[in-house]
Amino acid sequence: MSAQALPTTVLLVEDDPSDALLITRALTGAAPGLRVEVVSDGQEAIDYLAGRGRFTDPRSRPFPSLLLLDLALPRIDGIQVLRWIREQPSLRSLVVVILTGAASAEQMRAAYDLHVNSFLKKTPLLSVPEVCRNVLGYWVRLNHSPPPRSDYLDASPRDL
Amino acid sequence: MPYDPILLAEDDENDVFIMKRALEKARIVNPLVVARDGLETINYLKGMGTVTAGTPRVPLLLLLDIKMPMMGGFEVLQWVRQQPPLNRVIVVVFSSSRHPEDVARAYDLHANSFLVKRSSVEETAEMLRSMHNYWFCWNEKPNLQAALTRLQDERR
Repeated sequence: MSAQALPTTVLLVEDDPSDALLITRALTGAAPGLRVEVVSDGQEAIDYLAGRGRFTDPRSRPFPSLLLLDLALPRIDGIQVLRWIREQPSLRSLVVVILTGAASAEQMRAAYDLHVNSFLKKTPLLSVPEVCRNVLGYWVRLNHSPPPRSDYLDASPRDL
Repeated sequence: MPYDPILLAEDDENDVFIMKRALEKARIVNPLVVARDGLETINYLKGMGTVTAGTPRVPLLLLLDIKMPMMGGFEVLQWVRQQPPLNRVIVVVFSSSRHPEDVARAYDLHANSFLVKRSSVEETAEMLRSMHNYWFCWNEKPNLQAALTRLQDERR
């Protein structure tokens, strides 16, 4: 299996600390050595990807080969973050998986129309560690992510 | 729901054989529809909108090879993504290529996922179990059948 194509860094956008912990453990359980970066709101997610705010140092923002995105976020919600990502030439092909609590049919439609790669709901079963590891394992053990673009580090993204 | 078909776009007979055997081994009961090239794939999908008895059900998943005669996988992907409401169908590029450019292009054209073909039935079956479990049991499915039915009703 081509190691470079499997994810090495995951950006987790999640405001609930216990969910963030569960998800992080599931990811590193499925892929030991995987780096998981956590931000807790939509603006931070954008700052990370754009290299702004507290993420001006390139070392603080390794290229995410997978983005796990909650929808109900403070400041800027998940759909807006997704829309922003798909509008940035250097970021538009990022693998984005929504991982959220309750979501309306309209939010799901909007997400798919914005080419979200996948949409997962936080069911009670998904909070079982082995199950979470198994499900998220699809993205970190099996799926091949796109390579980082050369303009990721010096991206001048359009403002939200 | 177990009867939503899997649409396989694959021109290589060997690979089709491996896929069929692997699906059996993985105990996946969804009907498999095989399109032998890009054009057949698109024609099958176009048939989704016709109001006829026995209209094939919308595939829940399109497993798409890249290199095919007539029309390649990337062209099919591009076409699918421009056809509302079919544009939301789950597309898993299923290729023997690991070239970063191919992976990049697949995602540029909005594939949902990119899996690399395995050479044995056993490895393929294991991959299909994970793939089936993920896309059929966990991923929240875009509601294509309802959207297509609405479209058909509007056309009458």
